[in-house]
Amino acid sequence: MTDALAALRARLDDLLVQARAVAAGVDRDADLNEGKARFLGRKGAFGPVMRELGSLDHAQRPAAGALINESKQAIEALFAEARARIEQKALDAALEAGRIDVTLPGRRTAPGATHPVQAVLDELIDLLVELGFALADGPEVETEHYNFDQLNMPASHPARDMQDTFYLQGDLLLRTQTSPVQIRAMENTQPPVRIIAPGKVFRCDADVTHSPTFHQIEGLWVDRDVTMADLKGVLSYFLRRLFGADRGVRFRPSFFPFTEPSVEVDVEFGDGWMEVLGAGMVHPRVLRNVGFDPAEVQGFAFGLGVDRLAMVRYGISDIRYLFENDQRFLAQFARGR
Amino acid sequence: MKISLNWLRRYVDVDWDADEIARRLTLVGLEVDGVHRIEADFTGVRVGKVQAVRPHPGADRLQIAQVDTGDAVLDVVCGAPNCRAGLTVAYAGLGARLPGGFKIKKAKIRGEISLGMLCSEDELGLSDASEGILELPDDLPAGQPLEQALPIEDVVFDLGITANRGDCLSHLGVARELAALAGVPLRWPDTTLPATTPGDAVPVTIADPDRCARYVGRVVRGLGVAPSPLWMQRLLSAVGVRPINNLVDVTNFVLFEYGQPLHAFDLRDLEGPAIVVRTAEAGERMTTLDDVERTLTADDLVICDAARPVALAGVMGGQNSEVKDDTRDVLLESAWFEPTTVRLTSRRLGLRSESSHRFERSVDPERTVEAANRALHLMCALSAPGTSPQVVEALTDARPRVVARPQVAYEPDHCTRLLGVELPVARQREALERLGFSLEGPAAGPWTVQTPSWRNDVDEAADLVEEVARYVGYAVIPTPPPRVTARTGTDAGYARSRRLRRARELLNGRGFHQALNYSFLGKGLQAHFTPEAPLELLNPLSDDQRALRMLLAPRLVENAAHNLRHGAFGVRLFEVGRVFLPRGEGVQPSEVERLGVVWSGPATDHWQGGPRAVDFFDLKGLLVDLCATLGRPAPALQPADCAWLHPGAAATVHLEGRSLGVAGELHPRLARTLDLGARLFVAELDLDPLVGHAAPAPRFVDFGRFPAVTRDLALRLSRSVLAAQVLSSIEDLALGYVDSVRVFDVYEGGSLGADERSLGLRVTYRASDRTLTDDDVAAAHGRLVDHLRDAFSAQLR
Repeated sequence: MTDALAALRARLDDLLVQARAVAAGVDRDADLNEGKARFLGRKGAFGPVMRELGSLDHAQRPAAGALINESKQAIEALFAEARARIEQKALDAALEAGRIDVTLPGRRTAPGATHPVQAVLDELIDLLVELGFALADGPEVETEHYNFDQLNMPASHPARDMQDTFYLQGDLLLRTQTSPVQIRAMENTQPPVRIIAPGKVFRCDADVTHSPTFHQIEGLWVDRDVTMADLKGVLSYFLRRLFGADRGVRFRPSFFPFTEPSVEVDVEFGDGWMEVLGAGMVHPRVLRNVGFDPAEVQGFAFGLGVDRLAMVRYGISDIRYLFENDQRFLAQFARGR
Repeated sequence: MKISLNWLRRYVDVDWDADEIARRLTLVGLEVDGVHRIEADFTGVRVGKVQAVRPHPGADRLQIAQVDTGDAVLDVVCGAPNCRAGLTVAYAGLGARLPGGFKIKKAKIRGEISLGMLCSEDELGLSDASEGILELPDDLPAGQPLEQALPIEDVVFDLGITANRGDCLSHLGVARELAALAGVPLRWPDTTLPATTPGDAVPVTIADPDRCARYVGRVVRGLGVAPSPLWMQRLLSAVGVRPINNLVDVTNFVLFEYGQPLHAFDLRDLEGPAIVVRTAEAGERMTTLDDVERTLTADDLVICDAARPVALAGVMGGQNSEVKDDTRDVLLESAWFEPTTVRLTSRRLGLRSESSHRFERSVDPERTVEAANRALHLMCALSAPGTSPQVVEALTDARPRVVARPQVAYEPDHCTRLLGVELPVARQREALERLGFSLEGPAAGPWTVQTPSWRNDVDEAADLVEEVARYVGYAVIPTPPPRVTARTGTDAGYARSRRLRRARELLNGRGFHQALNYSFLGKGLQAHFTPEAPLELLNPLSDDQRALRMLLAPRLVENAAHNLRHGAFGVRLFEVGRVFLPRGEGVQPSEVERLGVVWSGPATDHWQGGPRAVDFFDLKGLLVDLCATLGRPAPALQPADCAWLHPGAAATVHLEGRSLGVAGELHPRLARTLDLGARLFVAELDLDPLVGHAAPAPRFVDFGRFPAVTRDLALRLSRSVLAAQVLSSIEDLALGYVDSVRVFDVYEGGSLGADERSLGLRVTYRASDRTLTDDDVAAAHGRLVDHLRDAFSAQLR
């Protein structure tokens, strides 16, 4: 190595030492830029060095150039490092400033609740629609004709007393059951008729387990060959979907004026049985009343009290809670299913 | 109805225990709602024989009985006047326990040792009151535990008898079902008459054969009223009937035994004596056994003597001829009254009796005489000691018509077709015959089936199928997996219900709970909301449940008040339900499904910024979002005149040109009247325009890819100019490039006049095919500003 080169190296080493001190000392962007310019800028320390390069022998120039580049890169790296340090510090400060108490309450709208009766209704409807029943509807203010007569409950029938009826002027009443929808559906359709009719029903009775307004869901399937075995099949499947696949389901004889044979259906519950629905084969007189020939078509109907089911499902002790609309009650059902 | 197992066992022997009987009855259609066990509430009480009695040396009223207790003869001090030698008694030995935990110890009574106690019925807990010690039948052996000697233990079944099975409202009726199930014979009670005497029957005239098909009357003379024997009292008590005396108890006993209501007249009180069964005269009066004077109508049937009504047929006897403590001669009535007439009378008078309950469901018209004789048999057998009653030989059986017993054509195939299972013909025959039906026709069917006299509920083949099915058990019917067939066509009802569910879910998401209210309310409450007359219930449970609702709002406002009263910070409730709009007298009303919303308290509440009270625009925003979620355009709200809303904050809500309903703040006056204590925002909308049909599927519109330019402008306007007028006039202007116009600020006060306000609008301009130049925007915006200046005398601020 020639002296000239040795001298250059010494100068470059000296610059590196100076730059290291500068880069280590800066802690603001502006200082950093200024410091960096002092070495690498147009008027920086490398200017004179570059000029000296021109005074070197041609043979020495490549080696000298390499030395200079090496030195420049080292200094650039020093300032890049310093920049990263400054940026990190700024970021740290910003992050610290942005520190919050994540345990404070969030800004929210507490979800509202579907009424427990509605929740059960929705579930029943979905299940029965899945089983091929279509949704049907009828008026809540009914006539004696649809609510009683057509359902094989003539005025003299003691079964009319089973249902304490709210009467209005004329032959109008608040329907005591969703069964009149059966009649309306059969009057309007030719078999097969396969419908459910959810809705409000009314009886003038009020205590811990009776409400003057409550909800039923009615089902009807009439076709050429619908048997009581179908009734058992559909209702067992339906109830097991509702209460659990391992639940016992029991069918026992009962009486409804509009079905024959009639059944009441119990589901295993605790140590015993809980009655959940009434059903039966549509009474031949009901079929005749709507112009169907019982020798040609037959089928089954069922009706289920929704409110009581909701009470059992949610452990509600008094039916009056259902209609009080106290938010302390309702809010408990806001959880999704 | 209560059925006693001991009582049942008088007529049928089955091997089943009480629980098995309950299960079998339930599965054959006589639902057992409860099984109650009656048990002896004492221990250590035995049968004793009083061998001798001597006076107590130290007390006049006491005696010392020498009692054979089976294993020893002991002295017992007794104060009962009926304690005498030869009596069989209930002896409580030392260590015995009586009801209430009372323990028998060796005692010295006035100086005499007493080794136990002779018990009365009430001391044993067998009756409420008794005179003297219990006198037991003499054939009981000394030393036998009393609970074995006496019918104390019993099981009482609570049966829910359905309205069609009047024949099972008696112990014989239930026993008959059990006998049929078990295939064992039924043991009929003793109806023999010990002694008859010649004499004339009481003449019976049935003036209304439609309503009285049969009337049996028979006289018994020389009775003596006394308490009934313990066994009868026990059985009556078990089914909830209070024992009174042998005459009354026997008529009750036979009612619960045969299901045939009976009535005993004191013969002395009958004018004639004669019986006339006739329709009551309108306004006719009589006093029934319960001391109430009844005013009758031509719908009622009365039993009269030669002069006046003496009983309300099938419902209750008359006070003027009831049996009394000194009654000796009785006319016993056993009749068949038409169910409807009894039902109507009983319902109209609000007078329900064991008798009316059975006649309404029809009694067996073929056991009228037998039931009468059974009662006479018991009356004679249980008559007071020293009397020798005699039944008058002649019996009146007035029977103007025979109650029809239908014959039903039946084929065994009916069963297969209806039940979906083939039951052997022989099994079907067995079922029907065991249940009392008689079959005619070839062995394999078809049959002509004669229904038994006690079954008035069977007149179709389907009824017989049920008989067969319940006899073999519904469990025999298979339970195949559901047959599901694909539906053709859409289920519009379900689609609608899904849309409604979507609306409910949006409301839930915004914090609203779903309420459910009764469909009726007080007329007064509703009158605050509408002057129109509602439909009214004729028999409401209370006055505040009289009117059918014409709006959801009143009840919801009431719900809000309830919640606020109970400490709620805010109220967010909605209800989906029908209202009833009258369409004229006696015509079914129009039933409209509505959505009601009430909102009170904070719209938002957070520790950052604190609570902000709900206002009209929260409610309006909710309604707009509700429409949006159902795929509808934004509804138009216009100032409304609505009596129950704040006159300055009430709006009609229109959607696609149809009126949906109203929204606004509850009128402060009404809020005060209803004791609300807070501002309340209410909306009530018809649901059909919202969910009645599916919204068209969205169609994609390419969004502009070229940049938008926004221009803000603040207009100084008269307050009478509505924002909607400004916005729709801009829309009507149909300027090119206007992408959207948004209200971003409303300012009042300050330098503005009292009748002025400033409306800040942000207009976004955009072209779909190029970037707009400043000139394009300036030209359009200039036209807009000019237009607003002209149309609304607006000044640019």
